[in-house]
Amino acid sequence: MRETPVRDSTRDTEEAPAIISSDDLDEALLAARMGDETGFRLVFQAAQPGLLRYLRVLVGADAEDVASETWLQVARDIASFDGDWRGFRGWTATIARHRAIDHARRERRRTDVATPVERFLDVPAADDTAHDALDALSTDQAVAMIATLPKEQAEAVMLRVVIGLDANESGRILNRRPGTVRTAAHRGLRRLAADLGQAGSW
Amino acid sequence: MVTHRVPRQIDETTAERLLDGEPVAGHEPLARLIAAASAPGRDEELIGEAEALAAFRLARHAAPASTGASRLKGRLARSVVIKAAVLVVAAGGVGGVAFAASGGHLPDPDGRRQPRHAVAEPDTPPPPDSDPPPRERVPPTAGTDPGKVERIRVLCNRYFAKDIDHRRSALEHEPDFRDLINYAGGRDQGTVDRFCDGVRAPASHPNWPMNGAPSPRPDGSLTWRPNPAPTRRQTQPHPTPAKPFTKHHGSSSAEGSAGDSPAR
Repeated sequence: MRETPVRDSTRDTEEAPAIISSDDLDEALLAARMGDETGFRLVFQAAQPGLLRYLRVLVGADAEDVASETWLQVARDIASFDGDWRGFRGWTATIARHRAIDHARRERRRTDVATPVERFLDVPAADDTAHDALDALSTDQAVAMIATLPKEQAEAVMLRVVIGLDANESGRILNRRPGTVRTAAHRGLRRLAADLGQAGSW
Repeated sequence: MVTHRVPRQIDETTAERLLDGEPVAGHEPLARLIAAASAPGRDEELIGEAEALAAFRLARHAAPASTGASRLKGRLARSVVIKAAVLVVAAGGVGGVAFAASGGHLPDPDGRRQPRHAVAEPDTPPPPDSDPPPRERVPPTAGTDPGKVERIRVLCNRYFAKDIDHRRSALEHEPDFRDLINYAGGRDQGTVDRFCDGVRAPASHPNWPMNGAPSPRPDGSLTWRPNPAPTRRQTQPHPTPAKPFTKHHGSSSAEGSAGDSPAR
């Protein structure tokens, strides 16, 4: 689906950007729960980049499609969602994960092959990426590197670093004990460090 | 120049600090990777908004709860488009989302403009320098101490939100900015400008704290200093990004996504 970013003609005369804090997003979320469109748009814009990156690790090229299915459910159920902005991040990540699992099952039935992330980004092996990209590591490249980790480590790292959840919250999503999630994230870091270290150069 | 380094052992404490987004000495590449993964959202990552909003409207009409009026007040009601959605990462605290005031219009995702909402209240004019302007809020801490990087980021955002005329006096008078002066390594506006520029820039920016080293102060404490040798990026205007993140008074650099900045 083609999405055109909205441009406002007053852009060039805008004041200095302000900061929306988590408190603001709590407020926006509350408004969204009561049917307010502005609130919904704010929480969408705040949540979507993180969800897309998380889904990139789970389903690769199909991240946008699965995100779209995620938001269908979020839009439907948000009125009965009870929680703050932090809770919303965990809730939407949970829905995203479920939709990703459903999607992966459908894909396997269809093609008998899981979709590798590398096909989407045409990303070389982790150490080559690190070597080329140490000067200008883009978000997409960083996410692609994390996606090369074993699945549990990749998810643990993404939920912590990108969605911003702690081990308890991540544990609930992954159906693991918090200590297990923490260990997985640490192992993921060590593995990434080893890949980056092999690339040399700092 | 390629040198092979055996990465230092990452113990649990170090791992936690890295996961919090701290630029831990000796682990710069990994910290950069984490920073890149959690970098501010780009416009193209806001794809799907119109569809999600349509689904939201459908769900609302199934169970109407409000009139057309926005329940949000003030700047939140006026400014809908988050030009650069910063991932709200909880580094033991809260993050923030930067957005630009839309100047009275409520842009609609399918292109139509709607009149500013009657409920929106005008911002009160900012009081003279003693307090941060009301349009901006420092994210509250959440019990545990936020990571040092998070605090630096917050301070730099507050600093840049002031217009140029007020920055120097803010550096002199505001107690919180003493920390910023310490981090930046100098109390003059140019030093702080450059430091915060790097803090807010993508990880590929030469001034970013990652592209520096811990530097001991006379009293033995540590501060971060950017790489001392000026790079080409410091003497050339920052490359114009395809999708600017935020704009702020006076700063000559516009942020771009880390992937857009070509290695020079």
